[in-house]
Amino acid sequence: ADFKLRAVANSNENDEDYDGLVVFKDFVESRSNGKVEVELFIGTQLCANGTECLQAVEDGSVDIYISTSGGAANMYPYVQVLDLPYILRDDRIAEEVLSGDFTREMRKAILKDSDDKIRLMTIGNTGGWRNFANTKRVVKTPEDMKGLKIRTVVADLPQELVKALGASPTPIPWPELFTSFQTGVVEGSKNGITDIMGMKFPEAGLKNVTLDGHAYMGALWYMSNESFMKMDEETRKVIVDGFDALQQATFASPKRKSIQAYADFKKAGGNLYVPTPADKAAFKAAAAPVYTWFQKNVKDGEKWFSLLSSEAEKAEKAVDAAYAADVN
Amino acid sequence: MLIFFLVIFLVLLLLGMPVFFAMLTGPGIMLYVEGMDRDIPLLFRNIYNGIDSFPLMAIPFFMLAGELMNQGGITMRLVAFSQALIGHVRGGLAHVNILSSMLFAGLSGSAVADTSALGSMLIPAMEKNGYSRKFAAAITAASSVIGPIIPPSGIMIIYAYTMEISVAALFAAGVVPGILVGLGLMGMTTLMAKRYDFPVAGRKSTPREKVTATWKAFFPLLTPVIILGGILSGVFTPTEASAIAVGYAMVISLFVLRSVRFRDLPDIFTRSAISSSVVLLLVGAAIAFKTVVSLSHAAEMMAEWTLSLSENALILLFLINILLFIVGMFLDAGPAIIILGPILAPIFIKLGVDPVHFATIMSVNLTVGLATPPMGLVLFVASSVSGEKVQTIARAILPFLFVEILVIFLITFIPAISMTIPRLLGLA
Amino acid sequence: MTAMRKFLHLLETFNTYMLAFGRSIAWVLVALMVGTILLQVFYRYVLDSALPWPEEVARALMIWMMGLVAASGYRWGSFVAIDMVGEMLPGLLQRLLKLFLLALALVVLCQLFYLAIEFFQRGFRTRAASFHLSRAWIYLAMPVCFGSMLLVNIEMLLREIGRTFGDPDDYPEPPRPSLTVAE
Ligand code: NA
Ligand code: NA
Repeated sequence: ADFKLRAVANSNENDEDYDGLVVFKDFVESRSNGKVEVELFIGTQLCANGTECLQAVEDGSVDIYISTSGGAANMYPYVQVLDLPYILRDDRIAEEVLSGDFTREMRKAILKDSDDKIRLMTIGNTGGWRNFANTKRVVKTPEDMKGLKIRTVVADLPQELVKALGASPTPIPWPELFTSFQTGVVEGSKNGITDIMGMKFPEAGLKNVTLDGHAYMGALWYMSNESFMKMDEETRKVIVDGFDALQQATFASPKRKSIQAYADFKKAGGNLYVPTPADKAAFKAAAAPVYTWFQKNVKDGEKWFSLLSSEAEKAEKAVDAAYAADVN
Repeated sequence: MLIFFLVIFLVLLLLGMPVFFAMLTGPGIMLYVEGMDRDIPLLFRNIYNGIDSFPLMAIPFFMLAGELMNQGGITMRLVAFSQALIGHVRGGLAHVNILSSMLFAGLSGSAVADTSALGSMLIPAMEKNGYSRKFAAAITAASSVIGPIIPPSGIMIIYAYTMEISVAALFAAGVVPGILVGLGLMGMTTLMAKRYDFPVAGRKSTPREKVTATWKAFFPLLTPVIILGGILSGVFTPTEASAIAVGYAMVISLFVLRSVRFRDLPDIFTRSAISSSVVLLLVGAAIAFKTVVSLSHAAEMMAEWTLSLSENALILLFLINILLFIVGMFLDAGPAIIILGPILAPIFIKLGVDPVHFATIMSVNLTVGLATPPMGLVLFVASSVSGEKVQTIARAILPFLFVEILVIFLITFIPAISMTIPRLLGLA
Repeated sequence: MTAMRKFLHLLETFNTYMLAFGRSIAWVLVALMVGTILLQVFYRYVLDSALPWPEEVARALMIWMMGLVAASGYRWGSFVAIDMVGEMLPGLLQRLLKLFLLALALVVLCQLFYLAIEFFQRGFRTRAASFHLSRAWIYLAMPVCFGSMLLVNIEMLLREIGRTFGDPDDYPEPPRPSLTVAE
């Protein structure tokens, strides 16, 4: 092979990221006629988190990497725009937005901030949507969140959101979370259902999930710009198509995987609450301080907030137009 | 062949290069030779990445807590307490040495701290009492490995950190095996006491003396209750518990027992800073080394090879025990866990061994390696504390090693020994 | 040889002060680490509201603590090694082996120091997650760590050269401050 690419995902082989990588590897290896070879490093073999791995991509030690928006927040704070709650309505809107110019704008920004070293290739999904889950009670409205100790990662935006809802954010390392639920050090978390079931959290008492869908679990896929640009144009096209196939695969994978996860959750005695449109509006209103916080505190916050909002609006119009054609 | 980095590493290690440098030089040379220049920065970054960790912070804190406890008199109180309980039997001071180690293990996470703290006090005392110096040094070294088996434990913190499992579960799993090692050593001491006519340390303590000794040891003995209680009940994370241990140790040694003065603190803090910085660098280098293990696919090869030997978990566990024992002879427990854990654990988890059970097997096995030559850390310390040669201690320690190997096999093949407490607490 | 001995003496003196300086800061950092985590515990369990920054601050303090005292540990032989083979060799060979290993360590430390500087410079592009500080100021501990170890390594190498090719008695170990606490 002329180009050996090293791809890293910090998750495991049950994760959507792995599904995406398998599709990508197969696609580019076959379409490039063996010119490109992709070697997968799943887990924390080469680097263990967003900051570490993105630095490794900058150094040229890693060619392809996927992070969540939280994982890239230390390097490119504005990617947290994807964590802003309740802006993207549902999967169709999110997929429409992420397939469009929003991703291209973000690519430009990241290239600029990384000295032309890191190229955002596409944004897919990793785990569906984040929902609030807790060990105490069925949360129907923002008022029910008051006083709950919610586990977050060490990043400011998720902590601001939890605070805005009147709950108390508590950073706990992921491996200690199970025990922390058992003993009440924390009473809730914000995760996708597949992660909740993967860690068997209902066994630790995490039995109430509110499907508020406050954040789309975006997966940002990067490539070393140098590795990309040194390829001939034809090969670059294969890579771009490969990432497109990967994006489609990661859009689909969580939908398929969550079916089993929800079934298991119910079997484990879990309560699932689907908020009414009124509930959801209340959540959105309660979360409003986060929008202000983001625009004030994050570099270019206003620009990214309005870009995502306007792209979401555009997508909603397009989808609504499609409804008009498809429903009738 | 990138995989030659393992050979270079071993050769440099045997030639006497410090482990920290050998772990970087072997991979560094081979990456350079293979033209994989882009991975040299990765090697460096992973030293940093390995150290920049919150769970690891428990190691300096537990070291510091142990150091504070060891200052002026707390160790002495533990020894006096042990003496009041079992000092009067034949081979009394040997038993006291073991029991003190078990108690000290509840305060400290390191076998080295145990050897230097108890050894400097008990080896001269045992000699005066009529034991040979080599025996005194050997029993000190042998019982000090209980330190990292009974929680808190630096080795288990490192295991939990690299393998992303719960420290609390691992700590809970270590309690019974640690006690078992202690009882086993006492059993061996009893046998030897009859055969070699060991001295008796003194008369039986009166109930009054027992109460006094217990009262004097009361505050130090409360430490494990606070630390373990806090961690196992899940109230504190291990790092928080380790900081609380430091706080508690400061309060009782400064204000209650007055065994430490404020002006002693800088030196105590400095010493624990130095010893933990060495451990942290070692962890960082091991994480970097592990990167090259991944890049060279040595891990997959080893896993494949292991499974080609047998697919029977029990047979493989037996073989792994032997492998770990040999590795433990040459490599310090921390680096050995970081390098081998990610290779071995997945194989056995797939074969149905509980992750916490396997972690216990690996931790105990490599911990015992601390007391085997040529790379037995506690042998070095016991040697410098006692003035006896490493080789001499190594020979005298053999009967005790035999007991410890026996316990390793018991832990390996009877999962209930390690798993009962974590299961009861709902941690595994 | 005399010139080298003079230089070595100068370097030893410099290192002695440099290491003492590092240690005098490091112990304060340890105290701050403990304080930071205890503060976190207090906020979380007593006031029932967790602070976002203590974890990351404590980690930064730990890395600086390490960077400041690692060289002291190196100079005082706390870096574990197997001495068995060396001790079996005859005197001169033993010295040469020691020289070889020290020279190899020198190369490694030069490389680490160089990479650490680069690491520090690039660190300006990322900031800490929970407080407003460029991560470069945390990363700076790494060049400090490997730079000071490099100086100690040069000192050890020169001393070993002197002992191999000159009179070993002319090259004693530098004095080691006692860190034992008076009873
Ligand atoms: Na212990
Ligand atoms: Na002992």
